[in-house]
Amino acid sequence: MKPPILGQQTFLRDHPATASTYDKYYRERYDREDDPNPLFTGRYLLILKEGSSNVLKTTRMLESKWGFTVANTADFVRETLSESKIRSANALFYNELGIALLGSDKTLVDRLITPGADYLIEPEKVVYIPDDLPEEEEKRSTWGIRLTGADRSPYSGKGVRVAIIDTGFDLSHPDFSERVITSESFVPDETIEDHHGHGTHCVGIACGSDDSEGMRYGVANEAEIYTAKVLNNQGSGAQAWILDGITWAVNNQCRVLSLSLGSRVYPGQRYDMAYERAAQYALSKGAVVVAAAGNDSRRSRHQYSPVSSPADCPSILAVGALDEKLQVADFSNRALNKGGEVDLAAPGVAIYSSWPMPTGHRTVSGTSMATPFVAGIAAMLCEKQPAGTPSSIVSQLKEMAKRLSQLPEDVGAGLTLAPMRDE
Amino acid sequence: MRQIVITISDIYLDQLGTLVQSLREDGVIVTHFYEFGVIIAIADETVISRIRNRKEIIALNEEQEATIPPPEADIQIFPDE
Repeated sequence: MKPPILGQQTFLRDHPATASTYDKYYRERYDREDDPNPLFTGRYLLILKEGSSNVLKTTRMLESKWGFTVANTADFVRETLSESKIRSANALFYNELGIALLGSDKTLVDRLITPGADYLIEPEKVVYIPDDLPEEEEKRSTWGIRLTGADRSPYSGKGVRVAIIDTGFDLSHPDFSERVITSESFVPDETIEDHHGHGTHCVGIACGSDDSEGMRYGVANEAEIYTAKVLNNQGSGAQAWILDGITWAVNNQCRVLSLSLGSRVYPGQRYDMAYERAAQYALSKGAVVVAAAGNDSRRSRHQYSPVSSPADCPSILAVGALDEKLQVADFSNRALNKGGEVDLAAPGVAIYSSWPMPTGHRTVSGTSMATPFVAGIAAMLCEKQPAGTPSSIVSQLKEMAKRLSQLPEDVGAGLTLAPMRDE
Repeated sequence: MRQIVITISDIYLDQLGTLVQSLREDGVIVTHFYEFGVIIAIADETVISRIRNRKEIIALNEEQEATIPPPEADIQIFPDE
């Protein structure tokens, strides 16, 4: 039996046109000699239309009319068939199947193809083990990235400017070496460098990507990072510095502003008009503002505090914190004051993200950590809808949120989820 | 002297510059003002009492300080803890 000519591997493109054009392509265009990974062996299969009932008749026809030497699998009852045992034959009938393998040249096989024949002739295919098929690498992600679906979203915040208004940023952090970062310090006598850590952590959640081990911890990993330092290295800042940061971010066309900061608010206290006016200004310029609901509650002790300022402003999205079991974090504040709602919830307990070098990364908790999750997801939505207004982005964030069994006073519309491609 | 934040009414937004000048003449030390109608300033109690009820002003508060906890805290809680 003529040995098959095998290549290493081949794949046909999965294209709808392939099936309909396959025969035509094979007959008219395909040149096996030029294909390093051929589709066919150079041998042919004769397939009886009526199955095995015509094996004897066809064997006689092949031998007498066309000069084939035909072996038959029925001859190998007591021993295992192998092609090396039938070197003298140029056809092998698989008796039970009604299929003959033909080891003749193409010219003879072409003559076998006649209209009205009770068999089909097809080229024998080369079968490959697809050992070079790239396997889907399993990406590791933090629990917050997984639960919000950020790792499954086709969006990355690409082209969207996100402002993190906080304690600055470690510009030398290796996880961000490939990123474009625009920064400004509004703290007198302090550079943008983050000697606290909080700002670097929040930037990492909203806009970071992977650590050196491939663990993804950032949401909008292709967003354009704008970082404003409005809290000093001890972690405090004047209201004017924060308003400076908001104004700077808005004037730089940032579409999302993330404020993981605040001042404690007491029951009955009204929201701050200055922050509200700044947020309205941001909205009027196309920016969504998100802020931390605050960590003053101690739910395990039945102590509940109202949403902090500026998150309590009507024009700012207030974000509460959840743990990995989607329970409200012990410290997360509640909507107690009129207008001071919790709008959304996001991962905020044991959150892994970047921290200034040499520490590199740290796991901490707070509504400060939940806020940049929402900021990053808002950036993804802005990428999905470049012309989306702040009000439409906010509406969709709430509509897309996973409803939770907890009170809306604690989780708002629910767990913020990353946008997926529309069906 | 106290650090204050003044928010002016929407309808006077286009007169922000004039209002800032007027407040300065009234003894207010204006340190920042923003086009969205917020003025950061320093003033003593007498001045604050005098300007508090001006028709252009809808809110006058002492400037808040925003804070986060020290970096060593595992829960990045806000102040007063």
